[in-house]
Amino acid sequence: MTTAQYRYAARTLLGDALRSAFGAGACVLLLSQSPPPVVAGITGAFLVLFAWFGVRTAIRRLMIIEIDDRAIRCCAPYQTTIAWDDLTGVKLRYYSTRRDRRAGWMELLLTSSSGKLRLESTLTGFDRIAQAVAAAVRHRQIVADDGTITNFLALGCDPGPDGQRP
Amino acid sequence: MISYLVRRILIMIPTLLVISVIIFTIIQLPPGDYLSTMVAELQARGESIDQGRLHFLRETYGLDQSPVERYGHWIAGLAHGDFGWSFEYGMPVRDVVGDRLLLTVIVSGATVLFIWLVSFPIAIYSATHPYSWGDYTLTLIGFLGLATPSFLFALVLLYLANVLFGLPIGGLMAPAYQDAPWSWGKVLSILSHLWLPVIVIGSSGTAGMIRRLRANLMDELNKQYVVTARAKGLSPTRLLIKYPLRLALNPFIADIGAILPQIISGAAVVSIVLSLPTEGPMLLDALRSQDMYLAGSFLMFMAVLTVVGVFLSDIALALLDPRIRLGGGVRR
Repeated sequence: MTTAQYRYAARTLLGDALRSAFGAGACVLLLSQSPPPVVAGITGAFLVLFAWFGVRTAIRRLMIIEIDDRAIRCCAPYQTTIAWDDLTGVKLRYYSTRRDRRAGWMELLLTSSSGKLRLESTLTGFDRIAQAVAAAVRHRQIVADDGTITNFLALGCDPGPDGQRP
Repeated sequence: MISYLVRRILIMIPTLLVISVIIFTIIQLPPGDYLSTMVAELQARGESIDQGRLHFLRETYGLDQSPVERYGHWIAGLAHGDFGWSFEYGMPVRDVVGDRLLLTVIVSGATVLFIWLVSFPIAIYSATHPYSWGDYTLTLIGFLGLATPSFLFALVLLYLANVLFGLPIGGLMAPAYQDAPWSWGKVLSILSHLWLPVIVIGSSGTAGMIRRLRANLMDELNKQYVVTARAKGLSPTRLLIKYPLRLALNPFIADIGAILPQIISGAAVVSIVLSLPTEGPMLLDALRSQDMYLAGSFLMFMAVLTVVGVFLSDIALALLDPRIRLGGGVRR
């Protein structure tokens, strides 16, 4: 049985760290101008969002994902294990801020009775993880939504029998 | 989703800054300023103004500063709710504008709601009953809505509302509430007057939406997966709601961002015809008289509304259809 380890590379998280810092800085700058209450409320909410995003980016830098024949697990900074046999739900989402929907990224959400694991395509070895998840979906005959199936197929993974394809 | 939200919000900041620069530049483009226009008008009437007073006013209004300095003061003021000084009214823009921005938001929001509520069921009916009498009738009404100028439609409705139902002509509330503080009576008065401008402003948008949703839905209904689902015995309503309607909704939602500026700019002319106390007529006057801070604040408000509208429609689209497009490519 082979175990593979994957991490988020610092280079890929640098953009997110800068986004978080720039966004939080802009919000603090605006709040320091004592804006009207409505604007202050919205800016405050944005500040919380950027701060949360910064914390999440830091957590991702520390994250270590392990995958083997039995399960996928997050070993650090917190422990989560999703055994393939316990997998109950899979969502693979694609996001892009561009009008032509190019240069986007994917987000994989795995759900089981023991917890949830959310991974982004900036993770090294995301393709291999997606293949393993698709195999588990196929094996356990999990019903995935149309968007998830389309996104798996775009990655070259087949998550189910032909009947599931949109 | 949080990554998407953060990136999308960060795009809004430079967008609004660039828009503010463009707005300020365009307002500065006509030769002269508010004071030179005022002096020219006085001279045309054979009157004159003391040069010392003119210099004093120029200093007071900051018109002696460079455009860059004026932009800096304006944008810094906007950050803490100071929209600048209206030259024409001789008071802060915030006081001049009063409730107009809120009323504009109410009219625009109600119009978007009207467009959705009316076009959605009509488009579904037309797509599921294509080339029927009902479809032809609704299509004809849709084309009429698209082709009729809003101001003309406004005049016709005003006449009919007054002659047939005895309703008051124009305005967004009863005259007694016009300068009164906000109360339930005022809210009810606005609600009772709102239907006319909403129908007038929303008619062309509704017709356009019906055409787009009908075309998208008809495309989806002709696809193989729909035939397969029918053959497997899925009920028509469940099939419609679960698959083709969801996919056909994408352009419908994407249009929210495009509708808002159309509604606001279209509402400017209608507001003059219907005597609505919204921003349209005041913006027109401010642009004519080069009342730059008043005009700039209105235009900036419209820009914010549009950018927020596009932001909301993008989020709705991301939630509704998070699928990759063929040839899209994922960033690593």
